[in-house]
Parts: sequence; structure tokens; C-alpha cells
Amino acid sequence: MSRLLARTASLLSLAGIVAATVVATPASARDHGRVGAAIGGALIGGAIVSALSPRKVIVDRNVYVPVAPAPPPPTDSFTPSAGVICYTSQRACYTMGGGYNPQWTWSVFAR
Amino acid sequence: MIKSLTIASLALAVTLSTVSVSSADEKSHRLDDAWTSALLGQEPVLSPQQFAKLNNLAFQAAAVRVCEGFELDQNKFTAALDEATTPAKEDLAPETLDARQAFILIEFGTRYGLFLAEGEAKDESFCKNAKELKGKTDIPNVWE
Repeated sequence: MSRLLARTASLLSLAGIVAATVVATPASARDHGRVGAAIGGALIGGAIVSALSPRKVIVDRNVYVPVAPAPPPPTDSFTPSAGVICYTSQRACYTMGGGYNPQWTWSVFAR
Repeated sequence: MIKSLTIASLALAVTLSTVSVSSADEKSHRLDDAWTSALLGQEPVLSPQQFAKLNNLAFQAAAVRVCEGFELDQNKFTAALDEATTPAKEDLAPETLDARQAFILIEFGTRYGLFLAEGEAKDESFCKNAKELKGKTDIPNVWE
């Protein structure tokens, strides 16, 4: 029983290879029985199968060093007084934890 | 001038009012990402002091929409806007003046829209600061 299964499996594998070769072979190569083209087609088919297969990623720790974290974005804010934050690029001040503060904007930037 | 400003500002405000508030800096209710984007395209048609004044004018215009008890005084607003946008040079060509006015319209409208978005998202501090400004005598405002 096991020999039968093994033989069937071998036949199925062979049939798969033949089918893959035929599928991957250009029509002109099949028509004219050009072996080189058939083998080339099979190789291309194999390359496609290979590309679709999961690949083990090899990381060389001597080459791929840990990447430093990105620097924080530049900030142009400052605090002229407790409870107030101002933004130079906007020429505006806000209440800390609150909304736009026109009084501090005027005092800091508009005078 | 005021009419065209209002129309352009409203058009921009409608767009900007839909900006998500999720980008607000934890330090304030400022829409950081939106301001950063807006300021990247800012045309240097005004001095730093004038941009600050334009901010205050746009805030006061937005406060009329967001907060209760505020109305713009058209004469005050016109005079303040003229003062805040006076060109540094008086001999600018007419086409340069036209382009400059267009840029100022955009700058004002952008600020107006962003302040509307900030105020509508969190109006308590926004309106509290507006009321405090209204009570000040040493800092000008353009409300009635």
C-alpha cells in the first residue's frame, strides 16, 4: 500500500513538472521542439515559484546595526510666562492647556 | 475689501473647519499639524508684527462666530486691517499690489478658518480669552 502511494506521489510530481514546463514554455518552442527554450521556460517557471515561496531572511548583525531613533521634530515654542505658550513661526500665543490668547500674542509679537 | 475678505475667508473656513482636532497639541488647543502645513505656504507679504496683528484680527472675527456676545465693528475692523497690512514700500506697482492683496486674503482666511476650527472644537478657553480681551483697554479690539 505504501509503495503504491509513493509511486503515485512520484507520478504526480513528475506530471507537475511536465505541466509546469509546458505552461512555462513559449508556444513557438513547443511547436518546434526546441529544448533550450523549453529548459529556459522551465527555469523561468522555477524562478517564479521560487519568488512566490517564503524566503528566510538572513540578517548579518555585523552589517545591519541598530538604527538610531529619528530626532524629535523641531519646535519653535517657548513659554514667556507660566500658563502661556507662544509659537514663533505662527506669531501667536496660547493659554497653556487652552485656546488662542490674543493678549499675549499682542504683548509678545505685535508691539 | 471687507466683502471680498469675508467671502474668501468663509470659503476657506468651511474647508478648514472640517480639520480633525485630533492633532491638537497637548500643551494647548492649537491645531499644530494644520498650522504647520498652513505656515509652510505662507507668503512673506507682511512683517512679523503685522502677522501677529492679522492673527488677532482673525481670532476676533472667529470669536464672533464661536462665542456669544461679540459683533464686529466694521469701521474698527477696516481700519485695523488696513493698519495691519500696510505695505512697507509705497511705490509698489499696481499688479504687485493686487498680488499682495490676494496673498493677504489667503493668509487672513487661513487664520480665520483655523481659529474657527479651534474655537468650535473647544470653545471654553477660546471664548474666555476673547472676553478678557474685550475688557482690556490697553490692547485694541475690533468688536462693538
